[in-house]
Amino acid sequence: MHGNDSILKLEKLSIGFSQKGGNSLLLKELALEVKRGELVGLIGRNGSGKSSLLRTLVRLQNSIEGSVFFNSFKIQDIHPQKFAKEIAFVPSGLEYNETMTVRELVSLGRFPYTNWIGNLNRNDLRIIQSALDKVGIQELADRKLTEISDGEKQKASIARTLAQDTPLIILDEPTAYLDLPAKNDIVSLLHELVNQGKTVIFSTHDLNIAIRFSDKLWLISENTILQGSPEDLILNASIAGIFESDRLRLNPMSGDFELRRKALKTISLTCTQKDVEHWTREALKRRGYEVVRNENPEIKLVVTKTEDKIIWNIQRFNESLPFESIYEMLQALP
Amino acid sequence: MPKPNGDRMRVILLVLLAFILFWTDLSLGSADLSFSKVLETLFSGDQESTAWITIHLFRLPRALTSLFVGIALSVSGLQMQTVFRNPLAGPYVLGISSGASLGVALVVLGFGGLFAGNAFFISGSWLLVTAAWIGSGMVLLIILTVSFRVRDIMTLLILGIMFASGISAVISVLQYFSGESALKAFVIWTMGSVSNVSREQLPVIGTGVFAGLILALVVVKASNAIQLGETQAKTLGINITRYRAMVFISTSLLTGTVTAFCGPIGFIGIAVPHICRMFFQTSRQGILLLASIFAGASLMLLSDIISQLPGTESILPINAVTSLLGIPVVVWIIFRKQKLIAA
Repeated sequence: MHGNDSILKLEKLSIGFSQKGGNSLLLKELALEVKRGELVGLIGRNGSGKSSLLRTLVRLQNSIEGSVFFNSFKIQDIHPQKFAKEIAFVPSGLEYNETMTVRELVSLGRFPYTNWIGNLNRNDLRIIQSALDKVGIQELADRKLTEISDGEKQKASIARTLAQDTPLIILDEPTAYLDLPAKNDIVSLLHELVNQGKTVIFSTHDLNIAIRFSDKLWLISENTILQGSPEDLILNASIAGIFESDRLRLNPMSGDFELRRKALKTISLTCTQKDVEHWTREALKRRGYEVVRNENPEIKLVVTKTEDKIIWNIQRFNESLPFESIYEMLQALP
Repeated sequence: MPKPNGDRMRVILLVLLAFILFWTDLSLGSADLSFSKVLETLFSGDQESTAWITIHLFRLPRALTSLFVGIALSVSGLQMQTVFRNPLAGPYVLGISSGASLGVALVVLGFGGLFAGNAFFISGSWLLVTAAWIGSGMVLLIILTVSFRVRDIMTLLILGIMFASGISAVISVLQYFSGESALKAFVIWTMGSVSNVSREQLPVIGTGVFAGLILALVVVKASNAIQLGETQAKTLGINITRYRAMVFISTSLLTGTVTAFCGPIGFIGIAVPHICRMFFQTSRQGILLLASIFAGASLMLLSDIISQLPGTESILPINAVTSLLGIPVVVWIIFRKQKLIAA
């Protein structure tokens, strides 16, 4: 499934804005590669040049230096109509007419293939239907874009790129403005498309989702981009270096960010149930306690389970105070 | 595509409507001609009869002119609403009517003496048609030049509006310094008229409208994609600059021609594309183009019928009628949209 030949190659690519008296560079001398069948997540802070880079890859913006090769052809040398059959682009924020239906949007994916007046033949209609099916929005096909949710609109846009039938799909912030389940839904859909043979590049703010689904991350760091599998970038502390701050740190095990807290007090925890232990531990961390194993902690917390209840017992100064919820228990902690 | 048969039925309905209104327009007038008499006269060769003269020299040119005006303004309006992605855009947003008005104002107000006394007959004269044409052509040239340099379509829209306002100011100055009869002649021109186009002029107006329609048809495919915004359209392979230029030329041909012959006529161009979108509930530009042609023709013919105040001898200015018909439509659309948002 994952071939080894490269589909997109960036050579000494510099992007930014040309101004009077010199250029202001966002990203310098990028040397990156996308292999066929990869899901590439582009991550960077706001204003770091994510959109500019993607817009450069689809020729909406000129590079300041260097070149981009698609299948070893310079992208500037590809005829616009041919280009539209090779790379599909979904900008952040979909513009549409208020009477446009989902099917009409998806049909526009056939634009590079249809005749002078845009007539859809039987083959086009078949491809449009299969694009709707693949994304799972068949039942929304004849609804208006004004009537569906942001996540569904994003799916309609992705179906449009499938109708465009390009080997490479580039999406700018496809998860922006979506709630968490919708975000996961969209990125797992992209993941699925890659498994079916597409190559996908998408930018996102959402580090967590990018880490979970991407084959490769492009991590924007100080005018350049670090490239690697998410796992490599976590292990060599690249991600931590860019995103950690005084208040946040990256948990090297989960890839999640957590609040940096100075543990002020120590507590021991005894609990038999795994999930209860996990969430109790999280709660204690939030309250500023370090969970320790030593024999003489300031406070002991013993969790017991009766038939239908979980009881949290705070043991301190030889007395034991029982609580029926983590919330109440936390309130009682000194 | 969904409901293709429904779309076909709706188009047939509009064609029928246009045909019925065209026929009604031919049949109405001070001389009472029966249905069969109109039919007979239309295809008979007796050029001496009063009926033949009435039909062939007055009513047919008038009805055909209404048809052309309705088609031209509606298609232009549709194109402008698409290219500017603005529901309030109309055929005149580029300043075409202002350009035409300036041409006419220069002739009528600048050399007003020429027309003193026959103020009511000025709108059909070749001199005025040429002046209006040159005026709107100059505006087109300026808009095109600017459009090659300005990337942002909103900037272009604002420039168009500013430009039109500037020309209006110049016209005001001309009006201020002109004599009474010339002023009246000019004001009457701005009220619009479909009754001063002669039989000989029909082929000219027809050719202009036809050429504009051909161009409109050529850009239909690109217009579909442009609804997703210019960024998205570019990645689908559209050359935006060329697309805009073609739309502007098409609109200028359509609007410029009918404005040159009939004066500026309001609201048809804004209202008809909305009516069509509501009626067809689609964003497909091919269907909307076809619908706008027949709905535009129908609405303009209806306006002409109303303007003749059937049963009376007087005629209302056509611009007043189209406004009175068009404004409720626009208001209705705005309220409907409000409801949609509230729901």
